[in-house]
Amino acid sequence: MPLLDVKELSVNFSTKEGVHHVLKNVDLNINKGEIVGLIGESGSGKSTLAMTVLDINSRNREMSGNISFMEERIDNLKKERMRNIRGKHIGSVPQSSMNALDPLVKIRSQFFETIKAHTDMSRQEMLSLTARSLEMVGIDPLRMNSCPYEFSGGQRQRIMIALSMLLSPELIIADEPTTALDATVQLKITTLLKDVVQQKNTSMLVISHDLHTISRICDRIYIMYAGRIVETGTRDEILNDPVHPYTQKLLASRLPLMCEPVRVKGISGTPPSTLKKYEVCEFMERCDKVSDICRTVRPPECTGNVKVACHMECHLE
Amino acid sequence: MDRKRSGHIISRGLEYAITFFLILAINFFLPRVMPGGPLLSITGSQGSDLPVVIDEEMKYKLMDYYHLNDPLHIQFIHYISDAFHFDLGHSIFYNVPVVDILIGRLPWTILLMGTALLLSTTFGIMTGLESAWRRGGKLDHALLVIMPFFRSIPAFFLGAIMIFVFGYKTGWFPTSGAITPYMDYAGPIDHAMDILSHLTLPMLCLTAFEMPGTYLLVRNVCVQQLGKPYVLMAESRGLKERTIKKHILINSIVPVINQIAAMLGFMVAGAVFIETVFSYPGMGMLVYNSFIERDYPVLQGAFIFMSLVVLACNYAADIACSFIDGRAGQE
Repeated sequence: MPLLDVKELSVNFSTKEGVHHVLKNVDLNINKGEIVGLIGESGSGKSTLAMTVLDINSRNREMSGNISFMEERIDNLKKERMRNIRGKHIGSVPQSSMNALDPLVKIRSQFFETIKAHTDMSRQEMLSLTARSLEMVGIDPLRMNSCPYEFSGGQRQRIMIALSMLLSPELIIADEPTTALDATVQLKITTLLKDVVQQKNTSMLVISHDLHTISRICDRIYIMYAGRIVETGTRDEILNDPVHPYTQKLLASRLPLMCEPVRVKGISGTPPSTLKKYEVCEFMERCDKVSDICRTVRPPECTGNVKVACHMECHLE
Repeated sequence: MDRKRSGHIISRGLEYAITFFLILAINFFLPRVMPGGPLLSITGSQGSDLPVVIDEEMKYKLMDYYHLNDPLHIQFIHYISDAFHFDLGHSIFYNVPVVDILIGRLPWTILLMGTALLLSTTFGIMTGLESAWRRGGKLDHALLVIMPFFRSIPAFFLGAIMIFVFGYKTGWFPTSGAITPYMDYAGPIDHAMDILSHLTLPMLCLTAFEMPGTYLLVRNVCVQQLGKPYVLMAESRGLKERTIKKHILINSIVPVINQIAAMLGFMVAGAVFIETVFSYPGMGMLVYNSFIERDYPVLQGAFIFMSLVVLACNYAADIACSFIDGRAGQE
């Protein structure tokens, strides 16, 4: 039984403009000790998946499907029970985590309130736990009485990682943990994430739009497009032998390092609207390998043993 | 950082001192650029039927006695030095020093405005935060209708209704004054209860006048904060609702404190209406009566006092904000 098991998850948001279909029939699982990457472009529904697992986006949300965590169904869980899971069993390094600390409250107080929300530690225990966590990410514990605005962006990011690991959660969800950082700091942060996961023996879901930065630390990767998982596999399978045309294009749009200037191939067209319900493959409009079957039949869903949501895969076999 | 903060506090203090000096100057020069003179109001104009007749020599003597023949800047220096000795002149109507009148009225105004400010701020913040937290919900919608409704009733009209309902019809509260005259109190508690029962209606009226502004401000500032990443992170850390609200409040309170301090001037204006309606012997009613009686020295004195109080409150707000947000004034 995987640690986190998401099955047939669909999420819609009703707004004034209509119903946004953000997640469609998503299957995703994470085993103990595993680092799993979830890659997709902006608006593909990656963050919605993270927030739905944490249940922090329940406004106007309609969902179907199951989410199991540590062999317990956590969709439709009571608010107070869910609050206990968040922070204690599932840690979160949020998007734009550089601004995810309250700017006016001392680091120490913010660590303490997380501990207080879940345990009954004494002041002394809280202090030593906070100091150890900060040390782990390379922040001087003497600075715990400073406010977040007195730290640099990269430091704040590391404090954020320490905060999400504070109570040694079984799972960490890192949503674009490196996006706002420059390249050198990005490398440090991804290495730090991997180290911390190994030290604390936890699992991690890393969400990113940047396949290359994140893939270094991932064991397995899910590729998401327009709210659907379109391809999944181990890191080597995805990087060396991508099957879905979207994954191929995603890999081709990388900037090669240390090589002669080349024209980077982007992906033409724009991602589909979440307001529209598609009867065929969402990627068809931007795909250059469209065949007749694509225009009439939906490709297989990426569930169970199916690893690629594309007709091409079926033809190959 | 603490040196930066004290530097910030001192420089703000200097700004307020300059502002106060400008207010003093305006207070001095404004009546002097108006047509007519002090003797005109005593002797009357040419066409007046007052039986007072003063010849030119007498006029000159009188002007000399009051230093009114001195050049303006000399008069101004006299005025400033008197003001710093708490000598604001004599009341024309009451014929006692202005300062004595002001000091007699000030405690009542501080009591009335202080309690109203405390109540309206406390409840304004509580309702505003709750309304923002449940934005789009029933409570939010209800408050968004009720609060502006209270704001749109003129204060004097609301006061009159309150006097009619709670003072006259039900007889729960006295309709005017701040204490019962010539009352023999059994003890200090009795005394306090009498003051409190007189205070209730005008205080509620002033609170109803002030609270909607605070409520709307707090709601707007908090709704903006709700979208910030730190609120989402607070939620995903599994913090309790109360703790998350505390974070939102800390981040919203600086503009709220500043705004309330800035609105204090309007509150003084509101107090003029309400004190008049309830015949409450505070500064507001003093200003109103002095205006009717053309008691200029008292009016000028009251203006100076009120501006001093408003400036002091703004200064206190600045200091409070610099302690809440360490970044204030560090641009």
